[in-house]
Amino acid sequence: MSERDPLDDFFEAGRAERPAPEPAFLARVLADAEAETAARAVPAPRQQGRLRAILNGLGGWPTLAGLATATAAGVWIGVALPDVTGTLVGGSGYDLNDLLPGYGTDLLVEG
Amino acid sequence: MPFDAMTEVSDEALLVAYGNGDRAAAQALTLRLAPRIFGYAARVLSDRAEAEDVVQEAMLRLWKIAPDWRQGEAQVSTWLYRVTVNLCTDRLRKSGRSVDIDAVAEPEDGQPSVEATMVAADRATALQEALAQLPERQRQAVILRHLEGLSNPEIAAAMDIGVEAVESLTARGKRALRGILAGRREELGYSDE
Repeated sequence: MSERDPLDDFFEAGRAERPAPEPAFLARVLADAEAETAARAVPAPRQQGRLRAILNGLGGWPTLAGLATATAAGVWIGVALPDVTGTLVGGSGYDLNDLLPGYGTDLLVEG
Repeated sequence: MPFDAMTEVSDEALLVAYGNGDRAAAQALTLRLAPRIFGYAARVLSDRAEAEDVVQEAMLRLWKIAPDWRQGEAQVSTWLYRVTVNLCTDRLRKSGRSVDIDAVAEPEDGQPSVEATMVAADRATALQEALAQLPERQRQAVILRHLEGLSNPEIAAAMDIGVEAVESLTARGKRALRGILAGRREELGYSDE
């Protein structure tokens, strides 16, 4: 006599007859793993054109922004302040004293 | 790390090692996990080729998530069963093989057996045929519980339902199986009532 659930015999038989994957299939799964590792190791190639190469050579976008600011400032000075620029350029020139007051020609004479 | 030394290493440690580029860890995970979910998928789908597709996809998702795996949040095997359960469900529903509970045939009267006994393989085949007649969720729960050996909480996590729902599904599934297999008990070598 037995109070065993008759289904248990079926389950036991089912566990013994477990469907098993083919080795070739497991090899494909492993190949996926390795492909995924390789894909992670190599970053996606970035398209680098000539303009990008020049920009990178200059130092990237921050440098370009600085250049643009300097250019705009130069244009503005040239257009809006012609008198000042004229004075600087059109004067009689600078003496060494104007630039380095401590090094006057009198120093040379006395020495 | 040599492969032989990995038998005691947890699934999670292997997954993290794989995420860091350890080839041997991928091999150990493949040999440890793929056969488990293949057995499940082949039983649920009753089709080896489809089971291979599902397992390959589930394992691919595992490989992809490895670098971002958050340790301690879930068991790797439970996560993988969950992915596999969902992929199998999608397959069954798309192919129209999902069985409605009302569509389960009533067990027929047992026919006189030609042979007195049958080998265990025949019982396994009979079980598989009977499982294929169950509604999809009952089938999945019964297979996970009684053939894959998962606990009810693990099944609940894999199927994204509560433990009580798991108990209900397995109870109803087993009741239906008894009904389906009752007509074949004599044929399968059971003489007791």
